Amino acid sequence: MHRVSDISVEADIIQANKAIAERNRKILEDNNVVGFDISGAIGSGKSSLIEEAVKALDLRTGVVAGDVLAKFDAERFKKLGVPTVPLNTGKECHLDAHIVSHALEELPLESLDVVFFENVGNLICPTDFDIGAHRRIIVVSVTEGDDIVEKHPMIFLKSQFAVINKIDIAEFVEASAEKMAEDAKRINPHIDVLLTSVRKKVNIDAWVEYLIRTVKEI
Amino acid sequence: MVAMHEMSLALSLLDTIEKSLEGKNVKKLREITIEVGSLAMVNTEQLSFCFSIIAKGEIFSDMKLNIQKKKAVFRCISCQKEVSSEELLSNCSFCGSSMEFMSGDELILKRIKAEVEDA
Repeated sequence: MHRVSDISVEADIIQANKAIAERNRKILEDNNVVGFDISGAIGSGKSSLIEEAVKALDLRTGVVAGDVLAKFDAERFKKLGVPTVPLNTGKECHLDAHIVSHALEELPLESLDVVFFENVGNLICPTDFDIGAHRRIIVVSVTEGDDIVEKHPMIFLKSQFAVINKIDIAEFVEASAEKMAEDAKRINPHIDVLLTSVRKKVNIDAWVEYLIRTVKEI
Repeated sequence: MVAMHEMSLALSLLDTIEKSLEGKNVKKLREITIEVGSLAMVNTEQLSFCFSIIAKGEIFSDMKLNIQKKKAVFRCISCQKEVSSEELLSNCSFCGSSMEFMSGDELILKRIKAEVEDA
């Protein structure tokens, strides 16, 4: 005999990812490692900001380089002599907690203080996927146009720190970095915003100071 | 291979459905209802499409995927008033202060209507 039954479920569909993310965070914490998810637009300067941090921090750093083809960024970090795991996402558009959990297995976490997870260049897909880092840093640059922040509010809402990069060329692309910062603060009153130029070394010391401050907080 | 995060979500949805049906002797699914927060980064049409690709087999053959939208909720950081909205709110309509995001990015499997065989 068949009968039609209503089954109440009320289950979070993204829970599987969240559970693995919590496990990743726990693994980092058990090893006294602080994780930073560096998300942001393509070509905004995510890799360059990580390079500056790796060079300046008096801490043992490792990098997980996530990209469609990760070897290009991974080579840059390996040149700096830090443990690096390239994560090829293939046709996937974001890192998720599961793929990151495998990268953690390949890093010598016991001898690291900080791990940077460079997410795939994309302001949409990574938004709902916690990977298990302690902070998400969102990086955009003036070359994406100064309406890029207001066009992608959710990722700013779900980040704790925003970097507006390439401010040295703002006037040439007719963008206002200040407007971008104001948009980020309006969308997320809790977010801290930093205007930088990696090329001209503007506010790189403040970028490194933020990282040191956060490592001490966690 | 479909290159979008909706495919990851469709796989998670399938997994969540299968877990919910464990031990229930379900023969056929009639309707799956999911609730999507209005600010979840989900394209519901793509999610339906991806789900239809992976949900194979007799059990899914006559199933309808019912997607309900739920408004996001924001709270004013000054006057604490809560407002629901389909879009992102930056300023409180009562006092003008900044709004804090409370909910609206969820993706919830609400219920399953299924033909169950009595033991």
